[in-house]
Amino acid sequence: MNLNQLAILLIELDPETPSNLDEFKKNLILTKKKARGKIKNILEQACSEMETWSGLDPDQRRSGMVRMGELLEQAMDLSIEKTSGAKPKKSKIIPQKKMESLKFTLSNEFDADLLNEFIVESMECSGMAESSVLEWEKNPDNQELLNTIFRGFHTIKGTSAFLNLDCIKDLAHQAESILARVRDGKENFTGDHADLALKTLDIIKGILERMKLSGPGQQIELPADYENQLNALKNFVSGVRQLPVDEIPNIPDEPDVDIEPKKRPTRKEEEIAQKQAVSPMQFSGLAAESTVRVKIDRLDKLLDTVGELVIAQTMVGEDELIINGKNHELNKKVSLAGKIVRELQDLSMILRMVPLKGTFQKMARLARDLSQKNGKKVDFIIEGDDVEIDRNMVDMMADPLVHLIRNSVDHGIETPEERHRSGKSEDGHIHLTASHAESSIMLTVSDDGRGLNRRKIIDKAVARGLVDSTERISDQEIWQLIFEPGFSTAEQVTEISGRGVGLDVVRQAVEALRGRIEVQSSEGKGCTFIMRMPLTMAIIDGMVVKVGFQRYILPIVNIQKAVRPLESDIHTVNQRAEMLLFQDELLPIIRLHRLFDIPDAQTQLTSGLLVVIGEGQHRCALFVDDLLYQTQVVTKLLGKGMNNVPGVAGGAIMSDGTVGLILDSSGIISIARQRSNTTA
Amino acid sequence: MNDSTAVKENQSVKIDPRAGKYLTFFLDSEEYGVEILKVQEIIGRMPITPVPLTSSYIRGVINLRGNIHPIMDLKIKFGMNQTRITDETCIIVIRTASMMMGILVDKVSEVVNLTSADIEDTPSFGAEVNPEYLLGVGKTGGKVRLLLDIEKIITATDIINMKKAAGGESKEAIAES
Repeated sequence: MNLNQLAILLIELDPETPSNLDEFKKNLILTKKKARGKIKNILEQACSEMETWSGLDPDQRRSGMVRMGELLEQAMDLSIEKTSGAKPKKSKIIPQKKMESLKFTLSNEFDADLLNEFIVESMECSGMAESSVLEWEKNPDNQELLNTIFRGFHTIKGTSAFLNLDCIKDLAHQAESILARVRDGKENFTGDHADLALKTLDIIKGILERMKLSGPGQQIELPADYENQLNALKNFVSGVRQLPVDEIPNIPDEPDVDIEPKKRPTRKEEEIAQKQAVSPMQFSGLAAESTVRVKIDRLDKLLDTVGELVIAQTMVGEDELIINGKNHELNKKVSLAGKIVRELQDLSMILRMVPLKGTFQKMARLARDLSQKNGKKVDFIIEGDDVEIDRNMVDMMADPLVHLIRNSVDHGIETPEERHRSGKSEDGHIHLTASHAESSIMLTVSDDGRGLNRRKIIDKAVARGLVDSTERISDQEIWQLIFEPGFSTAEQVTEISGRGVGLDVVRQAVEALRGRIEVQSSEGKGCTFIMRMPLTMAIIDGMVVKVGFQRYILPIVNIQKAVRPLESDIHTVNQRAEMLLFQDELLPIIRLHRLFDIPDAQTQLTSGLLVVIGEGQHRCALFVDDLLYQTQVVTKLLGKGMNNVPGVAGGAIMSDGTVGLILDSSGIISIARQRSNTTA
Repeated sequence: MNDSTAVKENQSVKIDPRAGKYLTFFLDSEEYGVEILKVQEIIGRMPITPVPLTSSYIRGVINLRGNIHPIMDLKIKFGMNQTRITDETCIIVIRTASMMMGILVDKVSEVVNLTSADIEDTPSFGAEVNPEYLLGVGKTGGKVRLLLDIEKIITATDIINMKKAAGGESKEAIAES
């Protein structure tokens, strides 16, 4: 039991349960026995303080606990001072971090599992603290938020001290001291507090990331700005402010307040102590849904097995003996089993879903930092961060969101002066919203900035030869132009349209998630990007198409329309290239049998089907023999080395147990283009 | 000191890393062997889904208990005719450190234990198979078996046929291998 753990115990202590108190007392005495010098004296004081509690009622005990907290803090400060000089015995196992080299070594004393657990837990804590800091900036008076941040730092401090990770402990401790002054009403909240707290969390996360990549006994280099940050925190605590602060509260100049024992707890402090005393309960209330951590490969294995079960069950259900059998009892049993299996499949799919909260928090942070850098005022509003999404998609989704938010802050939102001139509120607003729409998820990034400039986009498009005439072009078609690859290269576009940096990248990323992106804009009022994506990449709705003896799965999202062409719809250009007249437009025809070299396929265009795939400028008509049926399949990788087969997005196990290939429409279009270029 | 090196030398003479158990199989009338430790399992023939735009010796993919694995036609790889699927055709599933792949063979024969005395180095002539793909020649019971370095064969496989993808004719692809 060390001081930090003791402090954590104290926070969790419920003054109304005497048994808790006894345990705390026991630990306190144990710790005291191990302590030396001044710390021992302080702990001695704490013990005698504790002796007086037994006769008191809970309310009085609470104020006793506040005093106890102060004493512990003092002891901890002393122990930290000691660490930088003569180290306490525990840290001798770790070669102390040397400030010159800024490296530290993970102790061999702890195994990898323990360290991993610590990393995950601390990451969670810092995530929680970070989002609370962002909230706190908006509501500086909210004590509960401040307590949450405090708790985050405190837990990190406690656990890192337990693992002898002094570098993290020191940071957390200093950040805590800063926050303590605000909490205790000694200082008013300023932006600097938030900045420092966020920066500290960044560095802690940086260290954690590095730890993740190494194991016990390995040396880890500290992030470059570690020392600066630590000094900045220390200076801030001792009153040296690098940045001008307008509202420095008139506190007496005590260099380190925490060391000076306070005489009597103020009314406010008592309230805080009460809040802290009940905090464990609130905590468990927040985390009412208890969770278990499961390794992802186990989860995937479970999903695979359930997928197999579904196929096996289908095979049983479709067996002749069952379909044509007269044994009704057996049929009933089989269909009951089928029902359960499908339920099991649904349940197992949910296991992989995680809320968007983490991603959204990162975006909030990004928006905050970007707007500060650009000198813009942005109110970032999040809605629907509890919407869940397949965990495999979470990371892939972050990139397009970063792009869009960057765009909104950089180009969409105007400067405060500009906004003032055009009669808007000085604070720009960016909404990031997630919601369910049918079986897909809808993400919108919407700002009230200057919007897209229609004329300039058209000028640019005409100059690039993307459109010939500008007369009968709809708004929606114009906005789609900003996603064209050629459209977005670097600053020229930024100058011209004010928007459009790398938007083709966004579209590609969204399409890789089998989604679509749309944009709505009204000049001067703002711009909204809407992304629709499936909830999971694991299951797709597909149409089974037949080509010769082969069957392929074409994802339904890629299909715009399927037509049985008439002779008059088909046009031949230069005797070679076949085109389909579709909605007044000529689309190149891609013969899948030719592209994939499939024998015995239908070659007469009018006897087969043409499926319109692709978007905008890239639309094509894919020639197949027939569409067979619609199906829902679980997507799988094709095995190592086969995942980059052009035109094939993956595989799926069909209901007869064979492998079906899922077509990748954009891949097919690009191979077809490549070929027509080489043969032309 | 001297003793231990002597022992080591002795051992290295005795224990050929190639010695061990081999699973043998036929491609046409020739018998080949692969190290049994690399074999995950042997499965009977099952429907193979062809994958477009892959090399001609990739016959396609199969579903093995929910996982998809590629299947290689060793005969095409070695420049023989494509394997005709019969009742005796088998798929030997090979597991290497990095991947799993099935190889299509005409018939599985037996498991033999080869000592270092039974294994000779690959003759530099005669065999149709690229000598790089061979560990050696196993001779026991009056039979000669070519021992394949299956890991090398699998890892040196170009699955995706760039020529086909770019529009070259498939016949060229076969001639090329």
